Amino acid sequence: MDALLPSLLFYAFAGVILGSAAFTAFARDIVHAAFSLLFTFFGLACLYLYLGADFVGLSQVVIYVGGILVLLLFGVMFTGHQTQETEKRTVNFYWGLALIALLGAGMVPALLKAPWAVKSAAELPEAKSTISSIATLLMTDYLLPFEIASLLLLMALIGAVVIARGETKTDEGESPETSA
Amino acid sequence: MIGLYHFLILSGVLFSLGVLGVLLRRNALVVLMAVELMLNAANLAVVAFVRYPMFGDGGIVNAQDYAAMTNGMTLVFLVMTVAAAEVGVGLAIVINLYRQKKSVNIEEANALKG
Amino acid sequence: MQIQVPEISLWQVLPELIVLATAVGVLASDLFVKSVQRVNVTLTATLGLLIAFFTARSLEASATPIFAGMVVRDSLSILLDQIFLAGAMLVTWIGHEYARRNPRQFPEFTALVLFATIGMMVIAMSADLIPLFVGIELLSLPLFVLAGSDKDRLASGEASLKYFLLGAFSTGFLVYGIAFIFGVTRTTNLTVIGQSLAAHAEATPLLVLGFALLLVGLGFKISLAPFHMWAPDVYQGAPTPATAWIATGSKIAGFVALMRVFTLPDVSFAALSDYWTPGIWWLALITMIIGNAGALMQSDLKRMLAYSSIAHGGYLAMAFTSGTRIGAEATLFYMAAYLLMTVGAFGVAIAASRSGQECEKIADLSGLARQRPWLAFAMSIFMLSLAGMPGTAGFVGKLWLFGAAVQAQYYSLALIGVLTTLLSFYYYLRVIVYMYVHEPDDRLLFNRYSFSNGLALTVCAVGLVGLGVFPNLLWSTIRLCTGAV
Repeated sequence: MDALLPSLLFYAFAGVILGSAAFTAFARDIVHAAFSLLFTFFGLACLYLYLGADFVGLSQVVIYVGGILVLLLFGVMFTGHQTQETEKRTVNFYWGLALIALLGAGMVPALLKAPWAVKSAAELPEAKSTISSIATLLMTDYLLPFEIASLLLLMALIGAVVIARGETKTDEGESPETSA
Repeated sequence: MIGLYHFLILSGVLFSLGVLGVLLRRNALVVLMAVELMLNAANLAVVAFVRYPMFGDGGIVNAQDYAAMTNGMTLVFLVMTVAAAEVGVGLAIVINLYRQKKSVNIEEANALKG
Repeated sequence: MQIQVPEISLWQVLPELIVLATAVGVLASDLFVKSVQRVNVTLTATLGLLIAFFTARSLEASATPIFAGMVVRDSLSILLDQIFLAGAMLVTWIGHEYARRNPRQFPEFTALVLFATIGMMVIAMSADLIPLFVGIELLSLPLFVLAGSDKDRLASGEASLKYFLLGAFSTGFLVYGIAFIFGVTRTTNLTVIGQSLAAHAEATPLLVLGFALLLVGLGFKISLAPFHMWAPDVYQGAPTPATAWIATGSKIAGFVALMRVFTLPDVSFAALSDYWTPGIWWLALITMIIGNAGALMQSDLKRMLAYSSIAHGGYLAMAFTSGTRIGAEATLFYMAAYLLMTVGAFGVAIAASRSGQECEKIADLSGLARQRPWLAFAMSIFMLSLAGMPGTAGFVGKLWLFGAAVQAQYYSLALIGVLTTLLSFYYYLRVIVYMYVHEPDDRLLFNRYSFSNGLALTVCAVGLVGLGVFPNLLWSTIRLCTGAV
């Protein structure tokens, strides 16, 4: 029965993730959507820890919850509380269904045919901390992409300032909206 | 017993929710959130693949193998970085448009017509 | 713990570093110099790009990947670097003209063009999915900003929002595709992926799913047909120099990414070609038809060029489908020709402004030949080359594209290509008719255009005719690149 607890944990997290993600995608109130995203991100962080990915789990909390979500909330506050969203089943809806059907058509047979190896928890090796090996990788093999990513952040900073910068005439109270 | 299968299904549903959100919602910020759902689904798939490799004796067998798979984690880390940069720029773009139109509804963005 | 530090060959990425230094220098000049002369910014950028161009030329090609297998400095990446650097130079020049009239968007404009250029160069040398992905983002983000950089026009802001949302959407597909490919092959290195494909035949469905998602993601970037709907709006709304760079650099880089992933030496999904060839076949077919049909109906010059650019993406995809060496060569040649003619056409759109009024409608070009004969002549060359008139690079390129399709026995695809090309003569010639036949509106005179814009147009026009008459100038270099294929 040692497998019961992990399974229960997984289903609990999965439920939280899917429920809050669906709420984000369909809630009428944008503030609710943004806050619901918090639970998705946290649930995913828990699943990463469940999977033994400690570094990724913590990064998820720091980057997604601490950075991206705060930015999004900031955007929600800045643009006001716009709830009067007209939901129409536009042509996009059918596009969406077609895309998802395509995805499902690809995924279901792939999942069915794939040679799954379901191991019991006891058979999995102990998950070791991945932080030091990730650090080593980032400074050795992945040095170049790492540097390009830093370049990307620099560029994002500049770009965000350029585009969000208010008019040059009276600039008071309008600081560049960047904190990425 | 929880395996790769479960995680991939979870990730697939999450991705689909993101796609639906992008295509159905009219608020630019909600669309941005839905895109984040898609990226998170991808990250979840990568981490699950790291923990439960599809091949090689059907699961993680030795620690060395596991270490080799940490390169997947760096992929996830870089995706997160990119997502952060993207949200930063995206928010600036939304606010730029909001200043001009006082609206973040993408259906009202109709100055362009052919 | 023993850490193996891989060899860091900065020398090999010198062109990228020079472009980066130029971009930072252009930005910093704003800080330290009281009022930056626009000319100086353009000159600095030109100088930096020229140095980078000749550095790239002097690099020695080697098929051995560097930076722990992340990137490779083969002759393909060196050639593409030169194409991108030349394109960035032309865009900077026509952007100079635009900025003269819209003084609000300097010098960040030039810096962002340069950042996007670095992204393209990274894509060109990627030997791994991770630098490819980061490069695509480094290319896209500056372009999102550039599209919205004209704050006086609402259309610009809307264009940037549309471009951004669809770009981010496509990133989602791209990353999900990479996730599946990584999951099956346990690596992101393209060479290793190629090698391990055979070993994992039983996982093919999952891999096919991964590559299909990747194709959707890249399809958005290069606006292949079902994923093209953003292009006309964005091209129309974005400031014209930004449009020029979106239409050329971004599209070419997207095709380069496709080449890197799908067809290149011992890499790749070549083993899965049974699956992806029909996919791209259909995309190419729909793209050619939709692009040309859409262009027929446009009265707006930039929208017409947008549909034309979609159509040209279809032609490129057609040659790409063939998967042969000649197909790759034709694609490369056509990329260079496409860059010259598209940047040229947008350059004319910038130059042909009347005081206080940008050239928007095709009808705005009426009487251009009378007032600015050289401008009209250059535009004629670009239009004829886009249509594929003999004597221009567009003709030679198309001949090779269709040849590649025929050689690979895609007869119906080639036939549709030829038919749509014939159709395209109508809307390209219409522009020429407006310039030469229609009476000028006597409301306003055309502005004088600046030296830099004239220079860019001259380079484009001479390049097109030169390559049209002596295609071997570029052809021999291209053959070097694909010699290994």
